Amino acid sequence: MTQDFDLQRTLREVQLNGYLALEAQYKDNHRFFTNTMFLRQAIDEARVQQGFTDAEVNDVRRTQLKFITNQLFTQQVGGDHLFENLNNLKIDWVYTNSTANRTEPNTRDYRYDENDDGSYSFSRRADSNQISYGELEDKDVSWRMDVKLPLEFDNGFGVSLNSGFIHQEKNRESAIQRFTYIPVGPDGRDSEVLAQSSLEDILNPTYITPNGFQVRESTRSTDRYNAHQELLSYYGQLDMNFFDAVRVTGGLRWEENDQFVETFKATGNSSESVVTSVKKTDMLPAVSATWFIN
Amino acid sequence: MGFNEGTSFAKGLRYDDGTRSLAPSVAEKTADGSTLQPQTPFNPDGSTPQELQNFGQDLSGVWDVKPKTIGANFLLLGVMVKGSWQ
Repeated sequence: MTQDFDLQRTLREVQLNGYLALEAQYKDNHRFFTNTMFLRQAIDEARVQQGFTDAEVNDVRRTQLKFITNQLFTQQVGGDHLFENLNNLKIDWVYTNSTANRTEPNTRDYRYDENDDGSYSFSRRADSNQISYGELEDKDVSWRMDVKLPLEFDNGFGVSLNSGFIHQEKNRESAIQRFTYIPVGPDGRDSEVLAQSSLEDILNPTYITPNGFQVRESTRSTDRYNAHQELLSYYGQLDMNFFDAVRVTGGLRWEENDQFVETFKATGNSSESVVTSVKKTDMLPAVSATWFIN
Repeated sequence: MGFNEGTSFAKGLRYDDGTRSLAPSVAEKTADGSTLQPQTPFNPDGSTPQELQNFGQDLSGVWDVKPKTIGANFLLLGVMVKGSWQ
């Protein structure tokens, strides 16, 4: 496909970022920390592109008005602990809670087509106009803990016992609604009405009537979905060191994954829920050996 | 080319003030996940022509792109603190 468009775009972006970190330490063995992060971005955009596409006889002019916000809020709390009187047992842990949002309210797309005399009229094509509203929210909550117990023996043999778990829960809700004005009466096909340069003079109460245009929902079946994932994994690992010459590491990781996605199928003017799920347990053993050559 | 009148930056950090929200009548009609479709013999729960006219008029607003002077992009750093106690 050959296309040749001139694009004019005005974009303004505003960002707000914040970060707060606090840390407390008791001697050299115990540390607690907390991190809080906030990011927000807002983008306001207007764009007009006009030109030739070999899919059409005459030039087309597409206009889009869009406002998007993205936001992330993350809170993290954790600690590192070393217990010398328990044979240098080490415990690390962290809890993270994040929420991300994206909104795209009232995005407007429309199209004007060039006439044979060089003027432009509101397009009669199926993609002549659309208003859409989009929202997405992601939530992520996770726990992690790792425990390490080193054991040293007199004969040059050392063992490290490691274990830990991660629990992660993610949720997503996403929804887009789309609307389109279609011609249903003579005013909607009247070339004098369509030739008005301002779409606000066309898609207004005078012509949004049974004699002109009527709104239809053009939301797609894939535009709305919810998804969930819960993952629990834990592991045990043995790390053996023989005389600083050979190191053997072996372990087992166990994962339980529970996941589903819910989409919606349009039926008449209602929507029917369709759920697809995966529930799976994996056992992942691993062994490795390293020989240090002096 | 500039931004249209409906995209005011007057809110500073621009949490949307509702200007761009879905029209309340349409939001209420579609709140249960249903879609705006015309009433037909096969879809008796659909919207009547009068309802669709009202929804359509409520939805339509600012469409035009008008020249307007806008401010510069900016990045605002909020709190950046790191503390430590021993």
